[in-house]
Amino acid sequence: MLRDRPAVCVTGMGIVTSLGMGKHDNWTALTRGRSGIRAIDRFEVKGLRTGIGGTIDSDGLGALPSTVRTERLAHAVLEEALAEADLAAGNLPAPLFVGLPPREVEWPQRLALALEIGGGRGVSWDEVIAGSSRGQHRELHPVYLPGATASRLAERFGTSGAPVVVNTACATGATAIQLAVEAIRRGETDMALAVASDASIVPETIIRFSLLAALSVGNQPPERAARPFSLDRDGFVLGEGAAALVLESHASAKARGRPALGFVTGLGESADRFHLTRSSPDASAIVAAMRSAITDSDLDPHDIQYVNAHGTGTPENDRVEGLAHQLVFGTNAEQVPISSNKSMIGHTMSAAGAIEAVFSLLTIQNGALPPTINYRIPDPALRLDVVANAARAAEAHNVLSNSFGFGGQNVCLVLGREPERR
Amino acid sequence: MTVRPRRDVWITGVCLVSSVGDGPQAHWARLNDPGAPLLVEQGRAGWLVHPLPAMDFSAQIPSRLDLKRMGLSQALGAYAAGRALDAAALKGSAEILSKTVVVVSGAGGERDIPLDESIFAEPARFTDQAALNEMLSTRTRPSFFLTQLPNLLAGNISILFGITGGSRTTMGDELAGVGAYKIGCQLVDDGSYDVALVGGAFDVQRPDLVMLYGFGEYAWRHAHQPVALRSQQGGGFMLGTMAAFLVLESADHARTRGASPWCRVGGISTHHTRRRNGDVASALAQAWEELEPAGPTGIISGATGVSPSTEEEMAALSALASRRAGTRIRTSGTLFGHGMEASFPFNVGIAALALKQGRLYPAWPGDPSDGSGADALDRVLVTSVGHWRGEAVALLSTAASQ
Repeated sequence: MLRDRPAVCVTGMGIVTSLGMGKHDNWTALTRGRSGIRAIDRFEVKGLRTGIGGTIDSDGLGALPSTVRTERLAHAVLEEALAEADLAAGNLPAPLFVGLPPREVEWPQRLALALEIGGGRGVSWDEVIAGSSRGQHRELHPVYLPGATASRLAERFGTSGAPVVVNTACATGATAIQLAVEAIRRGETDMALAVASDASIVPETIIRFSLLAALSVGNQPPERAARPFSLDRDGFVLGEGAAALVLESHASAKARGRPALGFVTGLGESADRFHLTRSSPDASAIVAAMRSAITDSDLDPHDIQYVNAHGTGTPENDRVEGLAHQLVFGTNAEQVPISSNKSMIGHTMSAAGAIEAVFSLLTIQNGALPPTINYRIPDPALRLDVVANAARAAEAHNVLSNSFGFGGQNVCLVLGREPERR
Repeated sequence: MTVRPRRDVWITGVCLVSSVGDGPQAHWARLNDPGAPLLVEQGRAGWLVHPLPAMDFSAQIPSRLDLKRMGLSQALGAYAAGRALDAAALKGSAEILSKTVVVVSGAGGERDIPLDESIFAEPARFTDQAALNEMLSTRTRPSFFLTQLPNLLAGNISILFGITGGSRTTMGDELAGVGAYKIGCQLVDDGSYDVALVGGAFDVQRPDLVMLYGFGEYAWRHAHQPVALRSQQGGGFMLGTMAAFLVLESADHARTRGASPWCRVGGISTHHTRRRNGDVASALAQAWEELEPAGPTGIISGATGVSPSTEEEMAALSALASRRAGTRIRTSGTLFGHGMEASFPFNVGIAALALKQGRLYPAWPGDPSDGSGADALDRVLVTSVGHWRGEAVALLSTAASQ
């Protein structure tokens, strides 16, 4: 059955991060080792443990509720991807898979309601509910409804069937791609769209992750804070972004006369049972996901020429990921270069898996490995070739992209230049 | 878009938890003799909801620390998941569970109500962001975030029961439940997994979600009425706390380990119409045609009670049923309320219950009338017409049917 499944290629990609809009600006900045991390100026950071992030504030995006900003970015990257794939919106024979962060009404909006209802006096939750449910704010329901972004994207782009919205925390973007590839492989469809977007840098997000001691608190200068694989790494930096991919069977791409920009040749996953926010210290769950993806691509570990790391820059993730790299690649481990895009764009959360898959495909297309910047003090416990500080010219035909989510949800993708060998 | 399984996929375990109680037996008893639904007012909002009766989850979640940490909807979901594994005789089968995938339809959205109300107590003061930052930074419990993340129900299930093959979580109201069920079915059907644990949980007590639906005025503000009889007064849903988990398993795998089926999984048809007049009806008609139900058929409608989609669905189903003798319609929401992300798995669970018994339960007051027909049941269609968007129909059959 495996041998009969169609090869799945990518015919269009869209991307936006704090480095810029679109593939060209992103790839240029990424390979020049630029950082998109800056001091946050869209809200007051006094009282927060960290005031930096890879925010996207251009064109008034910074002033929007995060839910709306996230949706706008998803829209933009889908447009870029469809244009590249030479597809017009409307009646697309493709289901839509959408990775998004959980959405919620945020405090500025809740407080505005409280003030409106109470006129300035204190109110209870019950009063806020009772006071906002008589039709005064009908327009807010479709803004904040969990399925609404995907519904609007499905309608705008004319995708087929009902959209599927996923969230596996930091692996979300990879899960969206995984579902799309599976749908094509099992013959459900010839084409599928995967998009993931996360633009939720708001005070509450910073507070939530700070309280879990996950964020870097080395604020000065902002662009140096994200230090994956370094000895002095101290946590991740939040980032915003989105990416979209048009995936289709190779046969479908050829029939449409579209070039394959790359292939998704392997999918691997595992669920860790060790702890809600920490991986098994022996790396066993991560190793399982990595090996599963490589096997699924019909390759061996020595066929992988580059690893696009999860690489958050937390002391524990990088340790465990480094250990997994040793275990999977064995004596060859230091010959398989690895780097972390998060050193430059921060951790783009629900979008990361998709953004980093696009960067992996661009790596293959352009023959250059993006760097891990801020790598000044190597961690001697991690014997890794981290592509330090500057991009490296190298042909990479097969790339492994790792995403390990809170809740122990691990997804690995193998991206390749050619369809898997038989 | 309709997908059909290529091989035999069974449901080998089910657990339902709701305002009616805990487990298949409690639910089958009430399905056959509904009585008055359990209802309570939602705060001071002016509408009624179906609450969960007091329940002890310790049989599945023995650690009180774990229980406290999880929040109600994760605890409820994890409890139902554990009970479903028990029903399928898979609990503790480490080897099998290490190669099982869990697919959960999640909503997140837990609130720390005392903290929220401390902020609501001085709304003008907290419009100053620095003051709000200080308040949230000092008063937020560090692990509370983990109760708010929709994918951590799946995470807790993996930890509690050793499910480590894979984990996927869907979001998005009613379609989240549809998506989770469809993904689970497909992963077993295409051989990626032999077993998928699929389900969801929904808790009516979450004020953020209640406020959200309140914006759109979706709640039914009158005394309880069957869902099909609400349109005269503007329609509306009555939310219900519920959880449902299903064990989906390849028939070969089940036979090998001596497990018997509750029912067999059939096709799933999903749509996303723009909800113009007649769109719901044509989506349902198209699904019916593509799924090709045969033999005595029951329909478990997930109609929410919201207008106009409920009336349109009821009229469409009645029209389809009238063309085919022996088709009988039931409305789940009338007794259990509407459970958003959990509704579809819950209603598939009801279908599985009926198919296991080989018969449909009697019509309730307010359900479209049955006409004549035998009691026996071959197939069940489960519908989901979302309160705002999304239409889906799934077909299930007795394991013995052709």
